[in-house]
Amino acid sequence: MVIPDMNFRPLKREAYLNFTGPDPWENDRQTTWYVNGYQMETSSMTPPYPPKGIATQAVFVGIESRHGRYRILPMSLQSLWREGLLLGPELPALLYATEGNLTISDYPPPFMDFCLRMLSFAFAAILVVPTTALLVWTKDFSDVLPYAVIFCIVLTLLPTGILIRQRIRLRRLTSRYRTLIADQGIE
Amino acid sequence: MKEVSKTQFKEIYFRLGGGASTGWDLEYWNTFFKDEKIPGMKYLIEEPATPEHDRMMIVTDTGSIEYRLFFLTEESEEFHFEFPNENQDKAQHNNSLQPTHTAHHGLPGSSSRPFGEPAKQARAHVPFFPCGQGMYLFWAPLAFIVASFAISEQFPAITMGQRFASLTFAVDFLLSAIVAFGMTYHTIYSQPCEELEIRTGREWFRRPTHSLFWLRSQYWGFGYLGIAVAIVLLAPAGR
Repeated sequence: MVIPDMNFRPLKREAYLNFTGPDPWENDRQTTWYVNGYQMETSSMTPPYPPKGIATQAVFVGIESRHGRYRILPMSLQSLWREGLLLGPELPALLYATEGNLTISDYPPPFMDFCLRMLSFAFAAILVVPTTALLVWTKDFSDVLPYAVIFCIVLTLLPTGILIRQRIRLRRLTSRYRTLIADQGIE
Repeated sequence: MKEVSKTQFKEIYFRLGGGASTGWDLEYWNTFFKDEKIPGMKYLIEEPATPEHDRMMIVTDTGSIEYRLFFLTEESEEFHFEFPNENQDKAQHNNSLQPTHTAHHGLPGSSSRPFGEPAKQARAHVPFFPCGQGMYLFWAPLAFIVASFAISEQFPAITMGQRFASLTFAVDFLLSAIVAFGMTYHTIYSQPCEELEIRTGREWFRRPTHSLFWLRSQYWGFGYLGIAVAIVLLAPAGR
């Protein structure tokens, strides 16, 4: 059985910004920070770099200290960065203040959104077949088709549910970051 | 470097930047330069010294309140993103505790240096597919089923006239559940260790996790146990 390697590793592609500031993970010691663009690669796949760079969702924004420690920004913070609401130097403190509450789902792998949407559509399309059959040939397959319909509904709801949950969480986190930035509650 | 107007700066940007193939396109301009985020920014340019200087760079220096547009060769571009060494960093720290914010709009589309070695040696924690020793959760029932078939082939007398054929599967899944619970035991009683989440770069103190397809080993254990019980209950008596 061949299982694709899903261990994504960030591959640094671009340097957008550097600044000197405190490292909250190292007792606020002054260090040089770099804001970089990364792409996720696996042992079997290194994606080609999109010419539009940061404009595409395939590029992940992260910060890296002079010592090579890096942290990819959660998707909500990345979207704020893309909107130009962040200058950069506030990123380490902002990330440090919220990192404990972040889960792995706040860092979706590349094309997760697209894949979930495709799965939802695919299962919904498949759902049409047993439903139609149930309506047309009810007598012939009445014992099997209801189960097929329920199975397809569950399959459709799974990726859709994950997608909706991710959207809600993304919106909540983004609004939380906006509040933090507006209140300047971080140093 | 000479100071120019924003219009001249824009003209150089589009004429020598390389356009969409390099990433210096209209979209990038609109994102970073169209609207003045910091009022009063000056625009400085240094035209390419030789035809080899074809890598356009733009530095946003909020300390000096200026944009600096200049050109590098392919070779010099690689050195441009070298990180400062230890001494430079200390000197920088001593000389200026006030942060200086300098934005390097590095050449989009170019490959920069590989990121540095991680500070701590650690393994990846990715909750997709196998994590930790999660593959054993998949292989364990398969191995037990194959082993039980092999035993029944070698020792047919054991299986004759009994419910053994069905119950073998129950035993296989029971053994798989024991394996899964053993992995859970390992998780619970292991010392938390510092771990680097490679995909996100986060560092945690946590116990090792064994999971497969998003599910941790304890859930697999209960699942296998449930299958074993179901087989025992549903297996026809006397066979």
